Amino acid sequence: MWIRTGSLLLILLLALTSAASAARDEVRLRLEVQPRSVLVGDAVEISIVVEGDRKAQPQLEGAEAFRIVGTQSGSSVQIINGVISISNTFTYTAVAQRAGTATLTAVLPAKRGRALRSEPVSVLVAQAGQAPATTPQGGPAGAPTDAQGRAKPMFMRAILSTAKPYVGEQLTVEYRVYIREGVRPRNFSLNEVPEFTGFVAHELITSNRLNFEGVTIDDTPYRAATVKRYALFPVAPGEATIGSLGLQMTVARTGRGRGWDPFEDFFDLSQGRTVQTASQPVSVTVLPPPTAGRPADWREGVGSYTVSAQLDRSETAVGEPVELKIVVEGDGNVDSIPRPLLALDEAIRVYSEKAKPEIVAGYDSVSGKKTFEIILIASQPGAYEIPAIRVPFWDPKEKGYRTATTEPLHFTATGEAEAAQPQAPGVLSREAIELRGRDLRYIRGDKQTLRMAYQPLSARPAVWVVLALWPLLVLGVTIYQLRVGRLRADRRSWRSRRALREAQQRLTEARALLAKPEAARFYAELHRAVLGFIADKLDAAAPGFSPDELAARLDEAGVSETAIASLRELWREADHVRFAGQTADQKRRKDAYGRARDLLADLARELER
Amino acid sequence: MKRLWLPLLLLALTVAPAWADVAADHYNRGNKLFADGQYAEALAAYQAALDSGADDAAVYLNFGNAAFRLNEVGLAIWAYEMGLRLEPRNEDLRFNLRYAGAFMRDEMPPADEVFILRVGRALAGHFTADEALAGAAAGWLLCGLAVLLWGPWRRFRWRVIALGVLGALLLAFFAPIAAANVHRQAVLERAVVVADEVLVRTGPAETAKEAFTVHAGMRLELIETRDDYARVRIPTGFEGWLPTETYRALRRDAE
Repeated sequence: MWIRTGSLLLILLLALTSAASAARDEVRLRLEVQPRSVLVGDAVEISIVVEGDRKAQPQLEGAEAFRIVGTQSGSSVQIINGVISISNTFTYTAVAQRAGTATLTAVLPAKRGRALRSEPVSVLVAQAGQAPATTPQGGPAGAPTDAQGRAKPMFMRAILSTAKPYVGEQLTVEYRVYIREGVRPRNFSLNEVPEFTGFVAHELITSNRLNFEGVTIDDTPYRAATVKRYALFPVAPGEATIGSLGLQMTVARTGRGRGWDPFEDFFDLSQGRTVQTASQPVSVTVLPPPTAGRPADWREGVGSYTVSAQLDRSETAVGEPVELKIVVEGDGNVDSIPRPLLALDEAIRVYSEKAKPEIVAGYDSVSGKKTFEIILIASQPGAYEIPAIRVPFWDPKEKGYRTATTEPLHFTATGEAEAAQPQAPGVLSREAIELRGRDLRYIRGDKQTLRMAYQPLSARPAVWVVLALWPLLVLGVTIYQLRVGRLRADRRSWRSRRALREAQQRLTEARALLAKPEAARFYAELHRAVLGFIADKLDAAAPGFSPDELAARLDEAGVSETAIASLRELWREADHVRFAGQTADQKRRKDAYGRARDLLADLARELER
Repeated sequence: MKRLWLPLLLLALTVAPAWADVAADHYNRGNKLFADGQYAEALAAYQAALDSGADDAAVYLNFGNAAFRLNEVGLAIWAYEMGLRLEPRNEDLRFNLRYAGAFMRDEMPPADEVFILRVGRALAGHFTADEALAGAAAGWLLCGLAVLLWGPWRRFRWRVIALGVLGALLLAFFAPIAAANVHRQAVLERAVVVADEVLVRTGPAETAKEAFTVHAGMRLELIETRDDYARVRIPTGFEGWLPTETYRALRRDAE
């Protein structure tokens, strides 16, 4: 049964495999683009469908005028009339960058033959003719327009808090989406994350949902909402670019917008549809911090900060570490604050230092603290002072330099002066410092033989096969045991079932004695075969029967008189040979064997009935 | 075919010890060079032992020590990690790994803060994948055996129950460890940075934007390789691309 099921599965598997390989031989490539005409800045959806090759990686040619902002892929398998068709779909969301006609083609690189190319698809990209998409330091100016000079129904802008920030000064960029009145946004997703090259960026808190407010641009009513806000900290003076943010939004027409023709040109909004929009990149001019009034020890601090410092102990031993903790806290990109300069005694070495910034992004600004943990070790005994720690910074709000300072700190080192110099500084934990004071454990000695590379158990299929088959074996044996147990519990049924098998075994043994001179043994086996069969079938003890009793029982059981007579005859003949010393040649024995076999067949048939 | 099996068996029995002898010769030569302070030559000898097919914790320990003496912290960490893969309870390897780690320039992120994860990781770290798999398999087989014997050994019912409980305990203890270790050793592609300093980029090209820098000894998870670059993830979760020559994979396939 198992073998038959396994064979069927194997045949099915082979059929599927051969069908799949047959399907692989026919690879088809299809390119679809929606829509076919767009404005610069609008998005198109490009789908490449590969049929018949699951591993194929198609390429897109002629898409230089587009910027890919999102990709996704999926596959489907269909079995129709035993034929498998496999198709992979690669979908790209692309934003048009340049006006003109772009001819797109999907290409499958050549494997063994020539490359496969799809039918080319042309896409018309029109210039929007819009006003600058961003307005530094302000709200929306003129709305972007389409090729016909009509205000665009939906667009995004990046709005900056300042167009000329100082290095290190916070610049806030707010990405806002504008939607014409009469259109109801349903849901949105961001599919293009802005790049902030030349800035340290922290995302500010924004709501997860869009909170729209009414605005009017060029006498056109819009609704606007903030999508994302970032605090940017320029890292170097000069020109820097703030990247664009892309958004996909599902929009539908509201009752107020019904019958608004210009809008209908763009979208069929009665059912709602997904629209792509993205802001334009914006350039800013980053100014260097002013030199006037700059403290000599100012390095990079910009913002507004306080500083505190403490030692973990006031008394220590020579060569033992003392931890100096400095905390700089305030508004600004605190992570950019370098470790304050320390005017230390020559006998004090900075053994290791570690900085841990904690940035907190609020709604409007970024604040936080930076903790410096510095391990100091005195190499000479004495009383030491760590002079006041200074953190000078440029305060953009005050438009001037300020300096945060601490009080001087003191500690005493006792013990003998160290001869050796501590190791060079590095960023070390206490455990690392302790470990460095020790040495490697030494190498292992010579060996006669080495362990050679071998295949681990998990990589041996036989292990998994045994583990997988084990429960099946247990299940099979358990079922067998239960079945045997049940049969034994029903003794009569069990004897009856095995009666014929045992009788046939005895007949086989008797047959083996045909050619031998032991006639008594031959007849004894015949006798046992027939009598044992009847006893098993009637669930009685074989030796307890006399010929008459046996005949009576068989008669009750519905056995024919012919069979009973044949039994009596066989019994008598066997007794004569076995106990009365009568001889029986081979021919007679052969005849008796045939009669016994026929008798057993008759009895089996009639007792079963 | 039947005539071939005997010669093939004899060949295997003859050649395998020969490889082992060659590897042991390289290893012993490396030990002598190490004792003489010729660490670069010792490192080459240990590497030759590995190239000859050796996969022995002793070779990795000595290789790591030679590399460390040459200030190759990343290579030393790689070797100790490879050795611990074979002998996870080897105290020398464990200590030397910690010791070499103290000289890393990158700080590894702290261990799991959830107690159960910490305990689980520590337990898993005490067994090789093979040991854990063998333990789990033994438990699995014992459970089945107890079911099999339940009927015929009814007179020894308590012994059969004890057998089943033992199997269940073995299975419950080793199965998660085996799953974790097999996944870690066979499925996850891990590696160690061996170059002193590597610039990790946002794409598989020298022209791609710089993402971050890693230093010798940093553990990596390999995500994919393309040409001469690999996309990796470091323990902090950051991802990027770096040249394949800058790391060594923590995997040893059978020769």
